[in-house]
Amino acid sequence: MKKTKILAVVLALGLILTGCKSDKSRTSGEISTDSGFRFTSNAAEEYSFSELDIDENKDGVNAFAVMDDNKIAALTFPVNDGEGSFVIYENGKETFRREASVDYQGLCYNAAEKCFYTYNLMEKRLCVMDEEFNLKETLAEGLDAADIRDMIIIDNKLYLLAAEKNPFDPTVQVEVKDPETGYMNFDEKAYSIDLASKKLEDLGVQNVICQSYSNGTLYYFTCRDGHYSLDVFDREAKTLKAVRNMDDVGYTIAFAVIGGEFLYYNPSAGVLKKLELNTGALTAEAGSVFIIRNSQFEVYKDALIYLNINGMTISKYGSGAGSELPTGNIAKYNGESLVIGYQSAYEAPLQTGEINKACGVSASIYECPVYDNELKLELLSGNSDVDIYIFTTGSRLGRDIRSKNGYVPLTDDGIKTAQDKYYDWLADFCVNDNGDIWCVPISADVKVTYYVPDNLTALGIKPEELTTFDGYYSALEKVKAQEKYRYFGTAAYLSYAVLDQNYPVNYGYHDYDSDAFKNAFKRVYDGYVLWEEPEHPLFSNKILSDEWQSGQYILNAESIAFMNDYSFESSVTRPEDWRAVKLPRVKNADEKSGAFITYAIVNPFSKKKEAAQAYLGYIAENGLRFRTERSFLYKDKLMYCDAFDTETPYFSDMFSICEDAAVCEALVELNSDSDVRPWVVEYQRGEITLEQYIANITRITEMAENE
Amino acid sequence: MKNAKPKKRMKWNTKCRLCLLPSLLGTAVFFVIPFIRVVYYSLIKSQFKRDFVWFENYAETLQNKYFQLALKNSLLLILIAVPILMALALLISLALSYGIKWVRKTRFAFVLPMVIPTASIVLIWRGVFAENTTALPIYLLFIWKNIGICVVLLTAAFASIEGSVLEAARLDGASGFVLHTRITIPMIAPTVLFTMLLSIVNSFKIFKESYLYYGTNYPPDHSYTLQYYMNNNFLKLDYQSLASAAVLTSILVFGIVMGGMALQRRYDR
Repeated sequence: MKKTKILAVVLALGLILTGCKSDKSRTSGEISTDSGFRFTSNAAEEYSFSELDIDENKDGVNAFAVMDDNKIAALTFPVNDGEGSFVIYENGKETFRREASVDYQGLCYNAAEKCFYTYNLMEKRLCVMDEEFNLKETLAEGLDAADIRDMIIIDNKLYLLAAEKNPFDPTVQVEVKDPETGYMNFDEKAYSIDLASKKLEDLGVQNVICQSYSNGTLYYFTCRDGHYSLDVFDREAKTLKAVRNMDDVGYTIAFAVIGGEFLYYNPSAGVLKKLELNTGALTAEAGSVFIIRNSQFEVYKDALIYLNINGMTISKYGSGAGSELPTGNIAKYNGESLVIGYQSAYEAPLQTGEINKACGVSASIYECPVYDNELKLELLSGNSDVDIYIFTTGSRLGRDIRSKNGYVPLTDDGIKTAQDKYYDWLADFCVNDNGDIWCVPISADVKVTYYVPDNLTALGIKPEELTTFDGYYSALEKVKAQEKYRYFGTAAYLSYAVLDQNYPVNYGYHDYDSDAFKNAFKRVYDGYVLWEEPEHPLFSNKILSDEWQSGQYILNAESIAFMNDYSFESSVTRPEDWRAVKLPRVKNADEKSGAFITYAIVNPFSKKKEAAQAYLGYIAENGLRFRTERSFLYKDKLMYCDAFDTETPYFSDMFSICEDAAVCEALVELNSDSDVRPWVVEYQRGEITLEQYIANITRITEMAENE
Repeated sequence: MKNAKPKKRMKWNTKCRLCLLPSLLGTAVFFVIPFIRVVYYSLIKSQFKRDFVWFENYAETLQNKYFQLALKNSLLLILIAVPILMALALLISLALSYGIKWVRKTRFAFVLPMVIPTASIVLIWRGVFAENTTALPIYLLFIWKNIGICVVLLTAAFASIEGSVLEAARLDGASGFVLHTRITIPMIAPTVLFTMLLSIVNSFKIFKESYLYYGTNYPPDHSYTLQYYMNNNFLKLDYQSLASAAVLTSILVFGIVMGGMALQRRYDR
């Protein structure tokens, strides 16, 4: 009896512990797998497929289909070269895998027939596959689609959305986009296929962007006559009936109607949003979402399943799918309006429209006077309407405010929390000597050397040579000496970039009288950069030519913004072509790369300091989401998933360079044009020697610092 | 009857005050109040933390080696260039008043510096003094720029001397040198003093020409004057250094002007 009791207690304990462990395994969190396939679960309750464990090749999910409560099937494509796969995950584990051609598009599971439907792009036929993805038969032929958007089975009919134009062709994207509405008309058409008779029927419905089915109703999201609309398709009468004008939603490629709520994907922000159909009230769903097809978003029972950039998210709808109205301090300021001022001719540093949609706080951008003195007068007048100023580390005004403790100490929780996520050197920059957080970083600009590996190898140049001063110039000379490969830009610019990185002309240092500087100076100004040339090569706009092909590029010296310009339209800035290394350091090879920071502070004279703080806190706690420039600020690679393809080698290069950078802050600001450049010209004319140049610049640097 | 005169005086005074009011208001708004504000800026720690530090900024400025250099150069300009300017202006004015032909014919040339744009003058100066490494070009530029107004003022002063006085002096046996040193110049002394004070004040305005000549915020040491110091601090947004230097310069100028006026009062007595 005693033994039985002991056994029962042990069993009970075991069960309890197992249950705890199970609960732990099903609680929210992110799981990184060796294969690189990440799964994020916000499931607050148990789901059989709340975990996916991929332990083989790195895959990206092209399409998926929920088979039942325990299984998800997916068509995957390889991140590196190779074929795609068909994979089944059961209870979170991969249980089946076979090679599947990337020609197969879309995946729909017929639970009754235990088969899959998929479209073969090359053969132009809809195929029926068994549960091991073997071809059983052809369901329909003659369907000339460039892309299958979605497939839904309703009452033994397959409702299919097909696009006749390829939505992933950049030329087509440009052609079909309506600049006013954002609508891209890929000639989507709706079809139905009777699964018994295999009869393909064109439903005669045009401009259908995406579809969704719930509670017996088939919904279409359409755009007609310049207006977006949520329509119901009467499957008997084969007619459309408008439910609601959706111009307030704009362009979307995936949605679901659940009760009175319209849940949809916002492509520009990369988030899911929820709209109350009756009231029009909008809540933002947080989360990194990356959907390119209707079929990559599904509501299964009460779970949401959708793709993010490197994996799949499964969450319980309504209790954990991101957040509803943002909580925290920003929630208190819903409806508030702020003014953000910045000194730049470039695009606004923050996506204020997206922030407004997300949290209800609007902000207008004010372009401040370019000159610090005018701006300071404006600021100190106390009458400026600006609530948040955005400066760069080149701005004397920002430094002045900091050194004289004229800033507003930032105490918002979002700002404090974000501090732990930045690179250490960046976090240190944001904290003043007295421990106050005085600014929020918006972007970091680090110049690096970009190179195309194959082309570099063809010229017999090793990448590691580019990190040394002599090696870098040797490479420049080798490229200059041949015709096949070209700089992205000019030799003058590439040469100047080294000098600028090590001795930023605008920010005086005191070690000009050194061999390192003299060497660097002579390299640049004794041949590469000649200021008095009629068409100065440094600033030549002849970077791109119609005759030049992307394969001809070999070297560039640029900031990470170079890769931010990547788009399908551009054939010359594809991240997969380029690698990056640190620009060579002149004084000491181990010296860190200099980063120029753009940062935001609260105007010390603002009448809305608390709201401005909350606004910055909201930006800070949302990673790169609301920042215009995608730059490297965080030490966790996961923070970049929305903005970069973190699997590319170029990303890894940039990340490691920026991780080991240091803030390049102006020490002494000179006006390069009036104070320094004339001496360079005199040097190049032979009117002064290098020693005289050094004496001049050393003198004015010392004066500027000590006046 | 007894009260008629005081009433008239009062009416006249009120009218005078009313006429002066716009000018006084303008002076107050555009000079006095801003100056008071500058003094205030010179007494606080920074524009953002306006704690009073009283004369700390002044002490820092006075101890700054570049302020000392600038002050030295500004004083040198006053002590060297202004006397030369006055001497030349007196000679030319005298020549004009004597009616010397070639001087009379070229008198318009003395007005030219006042009307020719500074940038054009500087362009020519740069060509002429390309090899010069001293402050001479700036000194000469200052003299050339201000000779006109000095000549005009002094010539008018000479013209205001009654001929009978000079005639009487000559009859008493006064010769040229004695005549001018004992009669002419003392009679125009107020104008000479005024012209000299004007020239001293103008010496602080040579910054524009100097800046254009050197083309930089950091000219050679010999030409680095108080205006450069103040301008550079303005560009650096160091308003406290700027304000304290401005107040010190004002005190200097005020002291010179007051000293001149005291000298004149003593002379009048």
